Amino acid sequence: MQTLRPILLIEDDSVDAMTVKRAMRELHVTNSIMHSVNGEEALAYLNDPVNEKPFVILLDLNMPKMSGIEFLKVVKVNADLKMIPIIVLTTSKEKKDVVDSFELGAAGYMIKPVDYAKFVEVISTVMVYWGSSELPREEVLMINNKR
Amino acid sequence: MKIGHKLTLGFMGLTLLIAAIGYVALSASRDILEKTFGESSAVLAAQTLDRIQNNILNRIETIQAYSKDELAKEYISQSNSQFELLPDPDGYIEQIENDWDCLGNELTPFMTQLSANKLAGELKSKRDFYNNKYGYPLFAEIFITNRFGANIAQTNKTNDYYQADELWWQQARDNGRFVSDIDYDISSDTFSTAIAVRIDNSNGDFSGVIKAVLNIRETVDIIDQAKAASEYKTLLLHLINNDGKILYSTSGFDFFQDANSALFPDWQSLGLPGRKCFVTSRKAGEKEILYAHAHTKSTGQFDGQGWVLLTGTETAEIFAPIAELKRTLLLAGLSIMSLALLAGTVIYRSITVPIAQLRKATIQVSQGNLDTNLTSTSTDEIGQLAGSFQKMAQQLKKTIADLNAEIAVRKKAETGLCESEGQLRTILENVQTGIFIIDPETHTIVDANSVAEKLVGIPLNQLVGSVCHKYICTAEKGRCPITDLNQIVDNSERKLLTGGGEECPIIKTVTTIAFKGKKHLLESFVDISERKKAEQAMEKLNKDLETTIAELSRSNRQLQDFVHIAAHDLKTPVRGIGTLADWIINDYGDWFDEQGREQIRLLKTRVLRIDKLIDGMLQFSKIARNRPKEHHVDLNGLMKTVIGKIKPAENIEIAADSLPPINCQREHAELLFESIISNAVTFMDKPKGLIKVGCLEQGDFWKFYIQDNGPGIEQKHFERIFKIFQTLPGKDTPQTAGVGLAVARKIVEIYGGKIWVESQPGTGSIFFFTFSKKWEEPVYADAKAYSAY
Repeated sequence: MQTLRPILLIEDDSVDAMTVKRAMRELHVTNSIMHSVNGEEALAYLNDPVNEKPFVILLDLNMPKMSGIEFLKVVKVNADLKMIPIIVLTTSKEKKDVVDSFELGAAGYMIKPVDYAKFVEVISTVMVYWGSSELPREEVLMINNKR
Repeated sequence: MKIGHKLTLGFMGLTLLIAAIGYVALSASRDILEKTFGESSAVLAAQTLDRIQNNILNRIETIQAYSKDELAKEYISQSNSQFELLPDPDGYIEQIENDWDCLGNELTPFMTQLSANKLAGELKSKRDFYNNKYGYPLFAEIFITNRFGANIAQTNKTNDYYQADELWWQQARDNGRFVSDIDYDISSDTFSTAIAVRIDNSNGDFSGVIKAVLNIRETVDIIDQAKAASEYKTLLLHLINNDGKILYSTSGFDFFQDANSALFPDWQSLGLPGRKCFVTSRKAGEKEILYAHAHTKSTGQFDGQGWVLLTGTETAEIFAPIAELKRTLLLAGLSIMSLALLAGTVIYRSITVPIAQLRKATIQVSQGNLDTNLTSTSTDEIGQLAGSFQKMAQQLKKTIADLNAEIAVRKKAETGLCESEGQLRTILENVQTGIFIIDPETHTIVDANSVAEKLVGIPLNQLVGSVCHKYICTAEKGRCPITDLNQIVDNSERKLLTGGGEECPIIKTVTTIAFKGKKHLLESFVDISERKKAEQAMEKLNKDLETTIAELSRSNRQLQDFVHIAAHDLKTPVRGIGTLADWIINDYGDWFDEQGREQIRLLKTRVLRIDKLIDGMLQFSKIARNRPKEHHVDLNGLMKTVIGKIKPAENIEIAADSLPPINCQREHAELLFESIISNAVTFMDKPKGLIKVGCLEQGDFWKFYIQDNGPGIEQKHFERIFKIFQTLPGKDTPQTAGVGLAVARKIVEIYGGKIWVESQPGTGSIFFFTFSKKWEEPVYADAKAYSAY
């Protein structure tokens, strides 16, 4: 169980962020949610050894300064970070975006429904799945880190 | 000369040669035969003569033998003694002699006594002995005389008593013996020869002479025998004495005839040393006779009578075999000649007849008639020649026919040529192209047409003879593109120099043409200055157009990107609004009254509408974004996907027939079908909804239809519904964004098809669209077509 590890949410729209958090609350997800508003901030957070590595990252694609795709590129070449599953959570239905995301190693691609209820369903699905999935242990991560 | 003559001459020559050979052979053999015969005749004569001689010798010996008889000797010596005692023997003899003569046939006792005495009796018995032996009087008369010449014994009365005057008595006394020529003896009446032999006494002294008259019958017999023994019928033997008188002849001659006249003059020369022993001679009017001869030989004791035996044989008989041979040869020769003639004729004919035929055929051919039919049955050289000739004639005929055909063609070509020359001139002068004819070696202008003249602006008389470089052509001398640089000038743009020194752009083609028998260059050109101007204007236009297009494309792209981004950017706040509305209702709904809640609900519906609109915009703009590539789409599979996406309510059935595959981008097909079908689902007003999807074949197109039993559409709306953002229901009833049909139309028209609707309000609608079976380059019409504004 990954109850201790946080979920990293990278989302620039406040309402969307609120939506995710509210959905998590309604689903009684106990993991803490870390929120970064863009890719740079997220990277800074991830790279800070103080912070706990999240067990899953929810990534929006349309973001300023560093788009989701760019973030993916950076993270997935980072030995420390690439093993963290990243679920793309976006409004874009573009096939191109889907393809690019998976090519860059995204673990999933969920389209944000306009309807809130549906949104909650989506989050539920993600949490249920990734919550019960086995993930690489921190010890392993720590060993690879050169501190 | 002709073959026949040649052949004839040849054969004749041969025959003559053979004849000559034959003749020579004949002559030679005749000569040989003559010689042989002559010699053998001579031998025969010699043999005969020998036998005669021997015979006579025999008889001489007989007489000689008798002369030695004792009685004779006694008598002779007695007589001699008697006479010696006489005083006048001669007178005594003479007296008796006279008596002898006078008495004629009377016989005195003395005479009788002479022929009756013992000696005479012996003589007679001897004579009779031979007479009996041979059957004829061999010795006609035998008497003996003493040494005085007086008869002492005799077989019959002699003519004379006294014989000492006779030649024979003297010869016998002197030589021992004497043989006379054959003569007719009167006493014995025979042809005989007298043999006289000297009698000697025991002392060896002459004591008397014995004479016998030998019947020459033996000789004659011998001669006759010789003749009989000969196989030659014409053989004649002639016994000739020393004086040339014929003594005996086997035929035809009188006794003592002169041989010279009876036979031939030169007979005596025969047999002489250096002369042949035979000769042929012909007496006038008589047959030719070959005479051979023999002389009597002298033996030791006996000189011989000097007789000659001549054999004479008719040469006709001798040479009869030769004549026979000659005849045979002649016959053979004649038959050979006739055979040769026959063969020659056959050969001649076998050669000349076909040759004559051939000649006839050649004459025919020379007269121009090539339809010869020279069949030859023989396979010899002439036959082959005939065959070859036939082939040759046929070939000639064919060649002539071909030649004639060619001549006809040529003639036609010539007249055609004349005609076309005239036409050419007309064309040259009336065509709108300028034409120069140039000598490639000297580069001088040989001819120009009126268009060329006018274009260049120089009169023809000045043009002709001028060099084309730097005159009508911009090329330098030595750099003529055709002759020096080996280029091909074909519809290429060149410059024409006019008389005024200006350069006029032309399209020039240069080819070779045979002009007046020599290769020339034919330059034809068209003035393209107008065209050039137009081209330049066009280029400018094109450039402008390209620029415009580039700009348009760029702004188009920008617009689409803008739409895309805008749509995305719009979506987020829209979603935010919706979410917040939800939260407000959830969190604070209890605080609201019904009106408040209704308002929030209306707020949410509006938000949804915005979202749908944005989705529609996105869809619409997306259609043009990517360049579609040809893609085979399985519509049946696609239908399942679309139906799955649409998720119709349970009361709505979507039935799809078996659909053919189409060539288009998959997203487009999905969008197309989805748009129309989802519309049908959305607006379904019947309790049992039925949506049917099917396809009809229409030539090169598929005609798809989507039929529903929905509310239907009024005809006046048929056009409008395909425009963007047009919806028929009011803003509050379930509705679509209003882009579905616009999107569908855009997709259909991209692929060159048409879309329309047929509908019965209240019953339902059928949406039709056509799709080309083949891939068509998609066409993007301008956006205005889809806009209602």
